[in-house]
Amino acid sequence: MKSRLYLVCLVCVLAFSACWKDVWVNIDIENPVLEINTMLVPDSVIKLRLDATSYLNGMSFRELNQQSDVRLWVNDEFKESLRLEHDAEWEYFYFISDYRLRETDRVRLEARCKGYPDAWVETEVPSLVPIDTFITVLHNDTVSGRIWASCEFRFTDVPAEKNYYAFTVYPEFVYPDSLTDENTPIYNFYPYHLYLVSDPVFKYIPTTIEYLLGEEEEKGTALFFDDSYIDGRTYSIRFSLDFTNPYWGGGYYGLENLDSLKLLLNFSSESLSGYYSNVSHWASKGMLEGNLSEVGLADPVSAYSNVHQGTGFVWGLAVAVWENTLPFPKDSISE
Amino acid sequence: MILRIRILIILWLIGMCWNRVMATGPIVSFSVRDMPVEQVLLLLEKQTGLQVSFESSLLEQMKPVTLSVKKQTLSVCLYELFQGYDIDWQVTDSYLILKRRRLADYSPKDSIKMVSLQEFVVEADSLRRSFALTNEPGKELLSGNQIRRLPVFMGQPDLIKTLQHLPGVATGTEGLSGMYVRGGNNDENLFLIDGMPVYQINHLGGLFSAFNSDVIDKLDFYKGFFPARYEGRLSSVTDIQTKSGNMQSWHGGFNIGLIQGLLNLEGPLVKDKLSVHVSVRRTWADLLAIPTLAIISKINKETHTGRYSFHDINARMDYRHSDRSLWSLSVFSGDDVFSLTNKVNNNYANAKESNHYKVRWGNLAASLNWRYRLSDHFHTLLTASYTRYRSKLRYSDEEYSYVDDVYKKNSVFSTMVSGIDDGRITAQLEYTPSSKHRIQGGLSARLQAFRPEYEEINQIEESVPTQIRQKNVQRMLGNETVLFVEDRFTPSEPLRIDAGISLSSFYLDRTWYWSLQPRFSLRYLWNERWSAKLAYSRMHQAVHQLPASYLELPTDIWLPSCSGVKPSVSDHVSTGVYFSPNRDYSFSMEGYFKYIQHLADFKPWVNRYPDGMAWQEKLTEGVGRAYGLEWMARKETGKLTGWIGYTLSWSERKFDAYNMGHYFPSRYDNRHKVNIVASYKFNEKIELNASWFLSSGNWMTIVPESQEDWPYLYRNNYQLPFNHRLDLGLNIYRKKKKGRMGIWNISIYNAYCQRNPTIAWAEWSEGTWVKIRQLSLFPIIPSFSYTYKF
Repeated sequence: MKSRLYLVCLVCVLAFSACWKDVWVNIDIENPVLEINTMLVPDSVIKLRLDATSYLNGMSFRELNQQSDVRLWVNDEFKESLRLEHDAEWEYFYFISDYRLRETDRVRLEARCKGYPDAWVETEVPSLVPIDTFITVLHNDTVSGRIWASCEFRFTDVPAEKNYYAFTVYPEFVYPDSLTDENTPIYNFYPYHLYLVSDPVFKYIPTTIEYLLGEEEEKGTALFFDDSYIDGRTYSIRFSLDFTNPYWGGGYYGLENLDSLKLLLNFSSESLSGYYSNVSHWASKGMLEGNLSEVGLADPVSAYSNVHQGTGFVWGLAVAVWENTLPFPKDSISE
Repeated sequence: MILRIRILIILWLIGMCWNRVMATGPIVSFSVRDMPVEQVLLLLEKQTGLQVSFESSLLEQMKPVTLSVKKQTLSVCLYELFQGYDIDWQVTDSYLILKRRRLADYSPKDSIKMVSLQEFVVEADSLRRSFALTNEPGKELLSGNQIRRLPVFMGQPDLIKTLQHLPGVATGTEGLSGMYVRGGNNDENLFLIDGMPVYQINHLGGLFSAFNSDVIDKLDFYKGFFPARYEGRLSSVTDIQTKSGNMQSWHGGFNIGLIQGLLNLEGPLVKDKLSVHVSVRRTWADLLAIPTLAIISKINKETHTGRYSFHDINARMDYRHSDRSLWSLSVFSGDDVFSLTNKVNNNYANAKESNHYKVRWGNLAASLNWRYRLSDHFHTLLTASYTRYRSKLRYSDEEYSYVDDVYKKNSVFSTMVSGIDDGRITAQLEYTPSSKHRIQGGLSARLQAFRPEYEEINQIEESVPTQIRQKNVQRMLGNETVLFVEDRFTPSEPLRIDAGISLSSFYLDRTWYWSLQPRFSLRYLWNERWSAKLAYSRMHQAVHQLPASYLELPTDIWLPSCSGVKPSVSDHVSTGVYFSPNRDYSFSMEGYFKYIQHLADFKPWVNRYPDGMAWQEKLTEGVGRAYGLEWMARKETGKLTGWIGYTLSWSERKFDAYNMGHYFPSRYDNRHKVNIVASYKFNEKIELNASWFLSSGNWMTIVPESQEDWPYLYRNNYQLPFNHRLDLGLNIYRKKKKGRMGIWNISIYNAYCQRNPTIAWAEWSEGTWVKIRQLSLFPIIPSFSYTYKF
């Protein structure tokens, strides 16, 4: 009886432990393609970096660029073949145009190199959308140790034209006594949380799933929207920045001794939807689906690219900047 | 004298009728329960030696039969069998001929009037050949009994896993209830229960289908030709008719399996007028999960508590208002619930934290059907249905702390809802002006409210409450109207043509999407043994499901078509040759080509789950094509029954965003697929069932190690090895007194423990060597269940 029992146990163990199987295969799936990266800014020339996902026949980066041809079309009209430049200091190659871009230009770039598929990309140069006002009030609650800034900015959307916005804030603190020899202040970047949850224009808020995965803070540093709700209107957006250290509650070391705080607001408009939102950290790495794809439960998610038959990222950008310099409040501020 | 003559005539007439009932034909004996009428006729064939012949559509409306006959004449048996139906019969030397009763002969009180043989249109459709020779190409008929007969997983018969054994139906992920019909996607299958559409068709991530096989009366499965009355999905239609309650007496039963139980009850509320049939199925996985989690938490010194459960409720009420008018009300409810709670006390920091999430997803559907026979030529069917699909994900996280005499509270309450409300009213009319035409037409008005992503968050940060509502909280109302007409035209005995057209308009967000969908099928009978068929169908689908993964998760959302992704359209050509050499066997070979436009898929770089990004911006459009050949050999009579099927198929996709815009294999492009399904009845008590399949592996995407940080656009570049699996089942029938019966089912899933991968992923080594890690979740799994019927 015992031997039968052992036999049954052995069969069960074999059956239920035989779930894993590893298969070694030798496959060649490289499929190298060209990579195009550049930013299109109004009233400037194009500086384009060309690379490849892998090099054919031992080709070097230099040879790849020398054997490549990059052509520029603007508004469906052929303009030029970009010329190759060499930066001797950085040992760097790039293609540059003679043509200076204008707002609303429709740009097409094509890159060709023998052995690779022809890669091409189309996008447009955005119009600048200036900021009307930008108000910042800094708070320092010495009781709770919380330091935050409440902000509001206003801008006017260009009517009829479809605009896409990426809104990012870069807080930089200035130590007044830490100046360079040229009397330039040294900026120090501090971690912060951007709270911008109550405005309806924004496309992103942390979802329930992201709360579950603890990913909601990953997206807290940039926000994206388009003008579908505000087309042609003047619109104000309020937000707050919290510089409180999430681990020990108070402000960061040295922050309370500052004399001033400078906020830089980069406000950009783009011509194609989703550039920033897709290229940013969470989409390229993929959180939930990244994990799922790593264990074979979903297709892998790749970084954003708008280059056809190749890879890379070509985007238009027009930046509006506003700087506020504020005296750092010494006193506690109640709610 | 005159009075005597009259009495004699009356007695003679009565005697004629009585003879017709009692004295005609050979003697038969059998006892069947819920058996399809076709199989009952096979029994009669066997016992009488007569060959049964009938028009193919004659038995379409008939319910499975429960009948016990002991040494009765054939006529009495047929009277019992067809009472309540407009079917009459004639017995000749070698034939038993069935025919629809003529209007002139019709009398509810007298169902056995003589009809001369010359009036019959006898087709060469003998019973065993009827399916193969006469049906539309790609159509399969299954009964609940056939589904229950197959070997089962965890003691539970499964409709979708039965369909997976048919040629042309790819299984998808091992062990799950996916259905990829002739190169289509999983969301391209239309499931109708008594006319109401069902959106969530699975439980437990796809392990079990949502259809309780005990309530299935009849199932029509279309994969090649689609009659014009079906619309809205590209690849297949599964039209399920549930059982109506017994109008005479109360019956019921229960089933106890390893992780779920089922209760079934049917009977008359008013005899011959009003009946009810209720079936409830519930898992007790939560009874197992709760203590298991408690033990794990205890070991790990955590405080996790959680549970998972699902249930189905099927209810149907039938009301026979008159011989012409029949009402039925069907209700279907199926839900999955999963919850998990975690509480942490941090005494050192004087803080408490608790988080809880709960996911609930499923359908609630109801339909009201009214069948009315205006005359023998006119039949009407009015259907009103409502389906509600919801997926709710709730999350709460609360944190309390008491530091330096300051009480702090941070909390997040978040709710995400995705769902569809689908209401439709359909009026159908069937007109049979002669034996050569059967015309059907109808109008269906549908209102669909889509709510793909609804998000509500209540947040308290340092006592500052905020409430957020996602932008796309508003419902998107889709309005669809479908007008269809079709004619089954039989110009001559061997030739039959089904021609129809469906016109649909879908209105959403100030945009109309029109679609004209012609349907055509031609069948030619060369002789009693050979037939050929040709069919063309254009199908249209205005809703898409966006799956977060290969599993069936509640985060998969249904979306309507929009300006970015137009309604999908498929053109499907199907043709076949069918051969039925004798009583026992039938063979078929079908070929098909399908071209699909406006297929929706994710762009390569977007999240698969709802993340606030507008879903229109996540999708990209492409095309697909699928083609192949399907062979099938059936044996439907005798002790050994079953089929052998082989599929040779290709399924490809083409998206600009992938593979440089070239065609690439779809994930479930299984080149070869072999299915063997067999059932052997040793005697009245013991039945052995087996199913085996062999299929080419699924495709997966391997990203080269050197390009992991690059956008890699070559999808499905590696094919996994062949899958194969043998399932065995043994049914032991124990008859009891008064027609009661106990059934033991013992099943072995994956009998030889083949490690078919449920999931697989790649781990790179050196150079071009890559290790494909395969995880098989379903090794050999024995199970049993007990069913009791009364």
